[in-house]
Formats: sequence, C-alpha cells, structure tokens
Amino acid sequence: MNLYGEKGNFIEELDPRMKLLIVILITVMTFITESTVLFMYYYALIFVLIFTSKLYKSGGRLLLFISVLFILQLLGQNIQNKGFRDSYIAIVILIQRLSVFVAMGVWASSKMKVGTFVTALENMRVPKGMTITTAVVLRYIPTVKQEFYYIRSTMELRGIGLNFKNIILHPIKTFEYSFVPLIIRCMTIADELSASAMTRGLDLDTKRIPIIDVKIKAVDVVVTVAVVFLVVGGMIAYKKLNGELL
Amino acid sequence: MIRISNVNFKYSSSDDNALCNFDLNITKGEFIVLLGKSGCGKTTVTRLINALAPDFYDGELSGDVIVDEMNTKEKTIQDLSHSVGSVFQDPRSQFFSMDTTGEIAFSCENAGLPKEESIEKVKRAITELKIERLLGKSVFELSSGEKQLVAIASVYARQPQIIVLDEPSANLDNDSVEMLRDRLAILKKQGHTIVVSEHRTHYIKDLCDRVVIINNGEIMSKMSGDEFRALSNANLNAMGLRSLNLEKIDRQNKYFAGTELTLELENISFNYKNSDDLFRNLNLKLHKNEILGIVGENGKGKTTLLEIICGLRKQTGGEIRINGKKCKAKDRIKHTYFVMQDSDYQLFTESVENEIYLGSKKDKNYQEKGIEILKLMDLYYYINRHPASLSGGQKQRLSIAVSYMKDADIICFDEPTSGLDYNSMINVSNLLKTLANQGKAIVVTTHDYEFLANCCTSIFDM
Amino acid sequence: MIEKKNVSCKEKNMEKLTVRDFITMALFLVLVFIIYSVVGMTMGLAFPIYGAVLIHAVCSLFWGTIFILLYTKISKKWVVLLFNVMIALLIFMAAWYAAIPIVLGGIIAEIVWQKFDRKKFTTMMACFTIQITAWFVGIYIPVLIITDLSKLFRESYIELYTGIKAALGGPFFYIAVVVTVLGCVTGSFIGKALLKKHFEKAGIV
Repeated sequence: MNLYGEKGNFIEELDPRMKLLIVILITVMTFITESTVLFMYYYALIFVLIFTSKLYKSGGRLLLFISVLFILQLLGQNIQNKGFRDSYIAIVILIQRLSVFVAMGVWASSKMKVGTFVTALENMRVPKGMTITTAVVLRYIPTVKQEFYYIRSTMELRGIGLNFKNIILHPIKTFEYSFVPLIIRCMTIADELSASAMTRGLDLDTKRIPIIDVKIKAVDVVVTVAVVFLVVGGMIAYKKLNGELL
Repeated sequence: MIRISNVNFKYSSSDDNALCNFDLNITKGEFIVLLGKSGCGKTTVTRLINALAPDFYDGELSGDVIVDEMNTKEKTIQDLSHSVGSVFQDPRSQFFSMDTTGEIAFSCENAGLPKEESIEKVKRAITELKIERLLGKSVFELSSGEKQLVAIASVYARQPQIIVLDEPSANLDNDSVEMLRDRLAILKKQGHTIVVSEHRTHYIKDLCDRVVIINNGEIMSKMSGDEFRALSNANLNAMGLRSLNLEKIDRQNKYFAGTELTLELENISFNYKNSDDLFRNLNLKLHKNEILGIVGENGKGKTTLLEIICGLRKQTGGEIRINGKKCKAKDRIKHTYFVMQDSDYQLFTESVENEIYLGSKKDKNYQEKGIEILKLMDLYYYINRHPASLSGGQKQRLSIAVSYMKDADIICFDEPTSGLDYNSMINVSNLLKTLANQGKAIVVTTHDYEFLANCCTSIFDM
Repeated sequence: MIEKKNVSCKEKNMEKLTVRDFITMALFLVLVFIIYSVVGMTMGLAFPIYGAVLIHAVCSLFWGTIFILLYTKISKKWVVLLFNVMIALLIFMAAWYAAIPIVLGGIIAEIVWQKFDRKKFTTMMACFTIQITAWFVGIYIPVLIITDLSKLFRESYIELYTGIKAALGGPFFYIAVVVTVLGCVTGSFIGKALLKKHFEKAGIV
C-alpha cells in the first residue's frame, strides 16, 4: 500500500535542512553581488531549482516579474536627471535583490508536507510547543481564508460589504464587522482543534515518533554540494575572467 | 467499562447544572445512544468520558467517572486517549495534518509508538475501515463525509477500546451517513464500546444495544435497543426526538403550482477555475409562496447553486431573471438573502437588537417589525445579549430573524436543520412557512427528509 | 497538607503554557500573516516602495486587536517571546536576516512582560509595540546595511548604493519607525475598545 501517493524527484525530496542551507547561501550571494551578470547567473540557478520542482506557475510568474524589473532598469538609463536616475535605478535593483528572498521562499516551502516539516523541526531540536504551533499555522492559513470568504459574502448580502464606499466612509465599522466574526471563528477553531488533538494524545511531554523519517540522504548531500559548487564556482570563474584577483 | 456515579456537573460559564444526579453504567462492547433535546447534556456526558470535562471545559464535577478502571479526576485527557477515542461534530476543525495519511497516523505518532508499529496500525485502519480511495489526498480535497471517515480512522488507528462520537452525522449527506453507519457496524463487530450522542437516529437504529434519553441534565429513561426500535415516530416526536422511520417519505422531484414567478434560472452552468463543470444547463423556476427543497449528495453543487442565486457567485453560463427582469450577480444581492449553515459567519454586532437593525434605516415601522420577529423567534428576552454568547440554536434563529428583516424576495437556507432536535426542526419549518406565506420565495438545501416532508412545497434533486 | 499541595500544583499549572495555548497562538498567527500579506500586497501595489515601508504601521492598526486579545486570554510568562520566535520561524525561509532582530525584540518585550503587571493594558501595548518595531527594523536591515556591505566591493557601485540609502535610509527610516510605533499604539487602543465592546461581552475572554 502506497501510503503517501507519488514521490517527487530528488530535488523535490531534498531534506529540509539542506534546503535551508541552499536558501541561505543563494540569498546571501545574490543579494551582495554587485555584478548584474552574476546576479542573472544566480537567478538562473534559482529558476533551475524552481522548474525541476515542477513549480511551473510560480516560476512563470517570477520570470515575468524579474523580466519587467530588468526592462525597467534598462529604461532607467535614459533618465536625464542624475539624482533621480540614481535613486530610481537603486530602487529597482533593491527590488530585484529582495525578490530573491521571495523566490527562494516559494521554492523552499513547495511540496512540504506538514508532517515532514514538523519532523525536520524536531530534528533541529525545536521545542514541542513550537512545532505544534508551526504545524497548525501552516495547516489553517487556507482554512481561515475560506472562513473570511463566508463572512465577506454575508456582509455583501447585508449591505455592509467590503467595497470602496464603505471602507472610505465607515472605516472602523467596516473593520469591526469583518474582523470580529473572524476572530471569534478563529478562537472557536482553536478550541475545537485543541480538544480533538488532546483526545488523540497530543501533549507537550511525549516524544513524537513520525512514520516518515526525515533523514539526510546521500543524494541530498550530493545536490547541496553541487549547488554550492555552482554558486561559488560561478563567482570565482567570473572574477577570474574579468581579470580580478580574489 | 464506564461507570458514571452520582455525577453533578456545572460549567464555569453557566449558572445551572449541566448534569444532575447522573448515573450510568456502560458495559464492554455495548453500543449506547444518548438522545435528547439540544442543550440537554448529552454532549457533556461524552466529555465526561474523554475527560474534556472538567479539564478542558472548565467546570465543577461532583461524583465519579470511572473509565476503564481510571478515575477521570486523577488522569489527564491524554492519559485517557489510550482508552477513549473521540470523534466530534465539525469536520472542519478536527484535522491537524494536511494529508489523510498524516492525520490517521497522528494518534500513533503522539503516543510514541515505534515506527513499524504505527505504520502497521495505520494500514490496518485504512483497510478495515475501507478508505483506501482517500489515501494521498489533501484535506482540502475531501468532502465533510470523507473528513469524518478519516477522523474515525485517526481515532481507530490507536485501537482504543471505547469510542465516543458527538453528533457525527450532523454535517453529512445521506450517502455519507450510510458510510458512517457501515464503519460503526465494523467497530461494533470488533467489540469496541461505542457511545454516540445524536439527533438523527435513523441510521443507527439497528446498531444500538441501549438508548438513554436525557432531559435537562437528568436521565429521563433508559431502554433497550429493541424497546427503542418498537417506538413509533409519533412516540418519538412527542418526546422531542427525531423520527426513526424515514422510508415512507417521498423524495421525488415535485413541482409547485405557483402563480407568480419570482426567480428563473435558464440553462445555468458553473465551474470553478480550471475545473470541470459542476453543473450544466440547469433550469429552475421559483414562485412566490414556494418552499423549494434541494436535495442531493454533497459535492454536487447545492451550496454553490444557492450562492449563485444570491449573487455571491457569477454563473459561467445562462441567464437569471428575478421578477421577470434579467439580473446580474451584483443586483441579485439586493433581492436575496442567504442563511448559511454556520451562523457564526452571519452575526456582526454586539447585541441582538443592533443585529436586527444592521444595514438599514431605523424608522418606526422597522423597529416594530424587529420587535415582532424577535418575539416570534423567542429571542426578545435576549435582546441585549451579544450574539456570540447565544447557543447554536439561538444564533440560528437570530440569523433567520435577520433574513426576515431584509425584505428580500428570495431567501436561501443552507441546511437549516442540521443538528437540530425535533421541536427546533418543527419551529424552523413553521418559520419558513410563515416567510413563504408573506410572499417570499424560499430555497432550502437539506439532507433532513423529515424536514423536507414537513414544509417543502416542491423538491429538486441535483 | 495535601490540599495545599494541590492548590500550588494547580497554580503552577496555570502558569505553564498548554497545548491549547500553543494552538490558540497558532490561529492568531494565521490572522497576523493573512493581514500582513493582504495589506502588503495592497500597499505594495498602491504606493510602491514608500508604501511598502509602511506596511507594518498599517498592519498594526489591525494587529492591535489580535495581540491585545491574545495577551488577555493567555496572561502567562513567555507568551510574548514565543510569539515573536514563531514569527521569526515562519518567515525564516523568506527573510531569514530578519530573524535575529525579531527574536531580540521578543526578548526585550518579554522582559517588559515579566517585569510589569501582565494584566494591565499599558504593558500589553508596550510589548506589542516593541515586538512589531523589532520586526520592522529586521525587515529593513538589507536597506540599512547595503552601503556597508558594498564597501567590500567595487567603488563605482558605492555611488549607486548611496542612492538607495539616500532614498530610503537616513531620516526616512526614523520617520518610518515613529509611524510604526504610532500605528501600534493606535492599534492597541482599537483592540482595547473591541475587547470591551465585543469579546468581554460575548464571554470569550
């Protein structure tokens, strides 16, 4: 019996700790590099990771976003006023750099089963209370969004909807109407979920033994080393090509 | 197996006792059903057994509750989880994991069982409860009925001797209730002790060994399964209980011979983004004074249809006319109201009084109308209370009162009687008839055949 | 003798964070993050860059209620620090550089939390303000240190990065901090009002 459905490829199944290492490495390198060429090279690596993880939709959107940014940067060269041009280009470049964090965040959190993530946290000796909180946050973000949809729908029906007019004319009341039921629902969910979890043995003292091991496999090490090699190696190669000394 | 002796229990948040002089012994392997009106205390009894009362739901407990030779006063909820498994009413808030396998393994993992043993238990739960088809699915893809099955499997995996269920069928359609019944039968065959608190008894009537009827926190009567099965529907209704025998109720498509057409749906289609059509070429006519019951399994789009009628969603194809005029979604909102299954989404203010008058001008006629409906709904006494402090049934009645105030031509109700006892169901039925008599067109989705037979003038099977 | 022991045991247990507390914190965190992403996207699109910097200030108007409610419901030690640690943990993948300031802010706020009366509104407001300001500063770090980092690299780019710093660093940063603090204070008062009007009346707290 296949308990878990299809397994992904080796990039998708990378140990979370390796993923974290890769994320930190790439984001640091990409953020501090001053060369646009290297930046694009690193970003290409990011896209390799994203597309091998089958995140086609997000990857496509990211590609579009970064292309627009580059176009904006090129267009900015034509600005006459030096002061304005410097600020403009600086800001565009800043957004480019910051987008790396979002891109890596999307990749790192893809296809992550909550159970696997929690186990990874436990492996890193995170206290049990915090693993419980993490698991519930990840699990309930979509649910709470859905709850808010129902509340918003009723607001529409009762003429107090979340439209422009109400937000401008009665901001606090509109906030109150949308927020209070949502908070009450969240507290109800928290209580019911706690009752359900506790009656199934969830406590802060017992050590959880997961049915899926999260261990660092040989292939994880190989992939991580390869990425490090590509990133650092790329930088060294580029600098050598440009005749710079390290 | 379970001995509840001389128990009085009072919740901290309440002034009255939830249970008085309660004595109940349950033997190993017994299938017991707890019945009674809403608020009678049957949920409290289940909470005594799994120790949620008084540890989780604060309260004062006098007397003893001995479960599997453990006194619940001396043990934690987690200690008891080895012997008692609990399944709750709301599938939405029972799931800890995002995938079914992780959820089923939850209790085993928490108990610190060795990995191989946990995997064995998970596989066993899946095979014996026959839910192989749900493997590998994410919790967001499951229907309420499927979620309840996974909840039972999650509890079952740990193999507790006692299994306690609090209105497990409340949100389920009739096919899911059948699936639930089959699983309960399997559990009974394996010798588990099963305690079910319920309103809908028709699906477990053949399984129960004993029935306990509770009223105002006290035991009104205890009877054997056979004695219970011998009762007629009339006997049961007189005790405030739902009917046992539903076979005679007609569920075929039925039409209303109405005069004035309020709503017309012509060739309506709908599909979610990137999904197949939920329904196609649907035609529907709704008249003044009509109460249309929409039946069908969950997942067929009943609620979505109501959302479309009320203008909360746009149909992907077809035309909708209200009072003869073509009506876009934005405009439909003005003519309709939707009373949802969960009133928590529908109440916004800090007092019942303000709730009634929300979203409209406060003139004298309006105020009188408001007072009238509050009295009709038995809510006038609570006029200054915060809606969130009311009981479930009271909140639902308040929601219905709100719909009355809106002056909508069409009012949609989504499962208004799920979890209601007999008298409340009759009250809702009468309310709908009142609304319909005033010239409104009513659409109701329901699994409750008793309710359907009681007030619906027409039926549409999706 | 035994009765006394039971009472002090119970008191001790009242102070310890329970599974229920952790799950309640989780649901509140969900609300925090949903507000963050909704406000973030709206402000990021409506007022590029400068708006993005003020996201925390605007969010605080909504967050105030959540934090005040949380602290009223769970008046125990460590809840403040834990909440910030959880925030740091959850945004780690996206912005790990902000983790340290957030945790530091949590520690400072926790010291305030344990030193003063935990039942008082002003204590809650102070902790909330410290926590969110720390989060804001944490997110802002790349902008602040970019010129220092750039000193490691080519000269010509220092000019470029000075441009960034001129646009977003310097006095603008301090103004943003003040605005964020004001947002937190306002949000706290909104929270207090809602608490009184709704949550206490509904019997939830």
